[in-house]
Amino acid sequence: MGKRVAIIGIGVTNCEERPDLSHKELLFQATRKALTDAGISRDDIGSAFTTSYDFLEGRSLSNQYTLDSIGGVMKACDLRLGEDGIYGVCAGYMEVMAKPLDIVVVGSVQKVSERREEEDAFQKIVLATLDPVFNRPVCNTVPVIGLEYALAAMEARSYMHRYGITEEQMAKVAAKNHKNALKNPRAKKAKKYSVKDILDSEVFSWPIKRLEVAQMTDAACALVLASEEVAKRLTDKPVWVTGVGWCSGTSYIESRDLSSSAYLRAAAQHAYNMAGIKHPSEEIDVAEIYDTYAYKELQYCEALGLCGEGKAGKLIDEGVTEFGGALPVNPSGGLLGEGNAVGTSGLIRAANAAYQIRGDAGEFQVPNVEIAVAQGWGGIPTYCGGVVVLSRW
Amino acid sequence: MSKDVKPITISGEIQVPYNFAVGLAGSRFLAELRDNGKFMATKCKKCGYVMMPPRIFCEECFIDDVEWVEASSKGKIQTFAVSYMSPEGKRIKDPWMLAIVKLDKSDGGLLVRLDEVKPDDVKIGMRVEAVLKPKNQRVGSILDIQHFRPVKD
Amino acid sequence: MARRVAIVGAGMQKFARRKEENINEMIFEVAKNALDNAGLTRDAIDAVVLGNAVDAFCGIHNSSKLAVEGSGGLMKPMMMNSTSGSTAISLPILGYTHVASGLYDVVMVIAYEKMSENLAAQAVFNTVYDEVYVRPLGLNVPLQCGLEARRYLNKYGLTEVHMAKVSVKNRGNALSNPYAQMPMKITVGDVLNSPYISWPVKLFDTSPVTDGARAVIFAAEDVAREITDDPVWVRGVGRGANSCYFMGRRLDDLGRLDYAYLAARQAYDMAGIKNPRAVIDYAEVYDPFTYKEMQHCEALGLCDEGGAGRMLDEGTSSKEGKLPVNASGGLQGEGNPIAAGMSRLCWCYKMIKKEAGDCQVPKEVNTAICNGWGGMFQYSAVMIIGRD
Repeated sequence: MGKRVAIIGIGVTNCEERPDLSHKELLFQATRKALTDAGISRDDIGSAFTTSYDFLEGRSLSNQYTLDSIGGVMKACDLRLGEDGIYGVCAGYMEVMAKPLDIVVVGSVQKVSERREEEDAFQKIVLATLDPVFNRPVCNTVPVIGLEYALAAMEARSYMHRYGITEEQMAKVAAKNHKNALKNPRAKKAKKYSVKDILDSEVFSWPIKRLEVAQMTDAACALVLASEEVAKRLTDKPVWVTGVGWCSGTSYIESRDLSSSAYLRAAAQHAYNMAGIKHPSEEIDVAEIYDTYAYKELQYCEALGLCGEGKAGKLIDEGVTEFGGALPVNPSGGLLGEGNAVGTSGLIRAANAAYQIRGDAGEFQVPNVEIAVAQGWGGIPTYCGGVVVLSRW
Repeated sequence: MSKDVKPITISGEIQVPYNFAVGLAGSRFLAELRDNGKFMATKCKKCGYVMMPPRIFCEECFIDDVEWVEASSKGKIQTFAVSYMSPEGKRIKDPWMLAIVKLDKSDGGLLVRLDEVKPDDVKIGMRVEAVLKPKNQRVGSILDIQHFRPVKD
Repeated sequence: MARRVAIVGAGMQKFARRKEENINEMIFEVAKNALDNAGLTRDAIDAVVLGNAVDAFCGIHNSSKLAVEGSGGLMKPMMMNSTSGSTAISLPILGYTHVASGLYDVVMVIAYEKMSENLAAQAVFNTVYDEVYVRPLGLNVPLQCGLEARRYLNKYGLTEVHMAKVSVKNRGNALSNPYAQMPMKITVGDVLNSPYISWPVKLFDTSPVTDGARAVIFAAEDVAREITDDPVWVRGVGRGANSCYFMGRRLDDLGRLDYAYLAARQAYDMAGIKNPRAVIDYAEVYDPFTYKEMQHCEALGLCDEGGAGRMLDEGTSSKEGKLPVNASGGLQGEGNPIAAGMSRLCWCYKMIKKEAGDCQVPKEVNTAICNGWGGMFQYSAVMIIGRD
């Protein structure tokens, strides 16, 4: 098109439980940071979006309440994208391309502390996501606790069976990300675990083990996007959004090829075509991947073309994706290290990738990052996700 | 197509428990209501707008530089609504009423119950005052406000 | 720079309590209708925007993820958004943006709602309310509208009779609408005598809850010209929203919908329209309650501020009038499946294309406007479409 879109402001709160703040207040903090980072005031905002999931919020039409916090009062209204945060970047990209004079704010907040974990609230929400005719009644006959792990286990098993991925390889991913998070000041619950610690942790549903599942956390994140002409006026470190892609696979669990993420491959292909990336494993410098469960990082590495199909086990064995490796994945610690802020985590992937491009990632900065990839997933048990390619030039 | 098959429906229910965080502003508002019977608002130090319900940030100036100020427990009815429905949707004889009341000494208001007045006597612009539950019954909820009634001058 | 976007097809279906189908099956019908209307197959669609307003109604979290196949979006980019009632128009605005941005050439937008799955509509609506300042008060939708309607009538000296005229007009118009759930021949007296839900809103001022879906296909200019020799362009879009603290807003906008005036102005500016009443031939405005049609006519500049009563008294908005409004029957006559209020856009399109059947208005329609409203007196979305 000749015109481009850049991220010009980033705001992320710590990943920790904040029962003292309302979700509006938490999102305000992230948005406030992002506006300051971009050097703009609320008056400069053209439109503002949030990504949120009603059931996770416990509120229908949950976007109504985030409007004030995103700076959206009397602005082009806040669209609640009931999608993962990464879709917010995609929607923001389109909005700026369609209205190049507008500055767009995209935000997301997750207050897991508002769901009563001891009553398996999240598990019940997972249950509520399932098809009510064919899947829910079956899942209703088993204790709801652990439902998500069972669903993840089915997928992990399928993946391992097809490609010979091992438990050790999955544990290595978890160990890597837990360790990486120690360098991330926002990851308040970071802790070091050895591969053995992880292999020895409680098996929720084989092969899914406790330390391979990202723990829930509260967090909020906001990004400010602008067109090339506006970005160049406001910042000398724009992070260019050179490619976006998203895709939804089949609704039917029964029809899914659980051993691979075809939807993510399609999304990545679209984003890479836009960005002119032909050899992702060579051209990409760092990736922030949605690793709710350790095996997902491996699967998504393949779908993102960071290695061949079925070859992610080799990738982690050879240390390619370690912090000091040739293609670091989740130097921030990912969800495993930071915590699982569900939809907000997709946006935080983009924020972390943007920090890498800008050279602002502090202790978890990977050297010489020119192209970064951020990826999001609709979360269990969905079969959809998105990819964003960010570039320094 | 199966035109001769009677449609089947299955029943289900979703019960998801929540503990909503009231937040910094709401917590202080409810605590002051419960402990001191006061209606606390926040004033933006930049534009001077006095927010009710109070929030820690001004959504116009988009800063969190606010100070807590006390608003009045009296105000004016902006609008109101009368209902003759029970929670189960059955028709009842004695209606209940809701109103949006703009509180004095603030630039905002609250959604409240109206009582001690007949529906036909309620007018937009009418001056009303808060009736709180007795202190030992207040728990830190918006319902610590029993209702609003016409000001008894 | 945004490129020009046209609507090349629309898909309709009857609004009713639809228990025979699940969501996938329900939306398949409108997706197929839209493709047939445009003369396209699923292959031609680059991306899908699929959404509903409230998942709690159909009882499925992320319900759009379970409706991939029916939308035609399998293994395609699919995105949803929701702004409660204004989803009806904010969803197609998202679809429009997909194309205007240059990213995709042909985009299908499907709006759906399955309210009949839910047995306790009020309980669902209650989950909409702020848990600290509103939920404990027992607010419900009729009361919410009672609050707003009372303020509006009071502010401008309008009456229940005016509201009743909207009901009579729209329910009567719906008699010509094959997709309508509740067409009715009624009189002002019938409306005035119907039971009060919350003054001044009565039973016949309220649109019926229902199930249904609508589909619209957008295409970029060059592709649109290949598909049809009569493209209908998206001339303007606008969105506006106000604070969630409706009881403490800076503007007294329960009477005058400032956020709706804002959305309308954005759309008119984009369309280059300075005198709406001279250019707009037809309108489909969001009328979940009769007084909302009145408020929206004012916000959209179809009459003076406070002049909605006169507009009705003079018959301007009747089917044969100078500026017909809701000749389809609107939500009052057709039914209100929240997000599928996108029907307002579909009918504007059909009117311009002269495909509105018995609902077709006698005057020539080249430019039409539609809007949606939603949230806690909060959101407005507006779209203006028309021929060159």
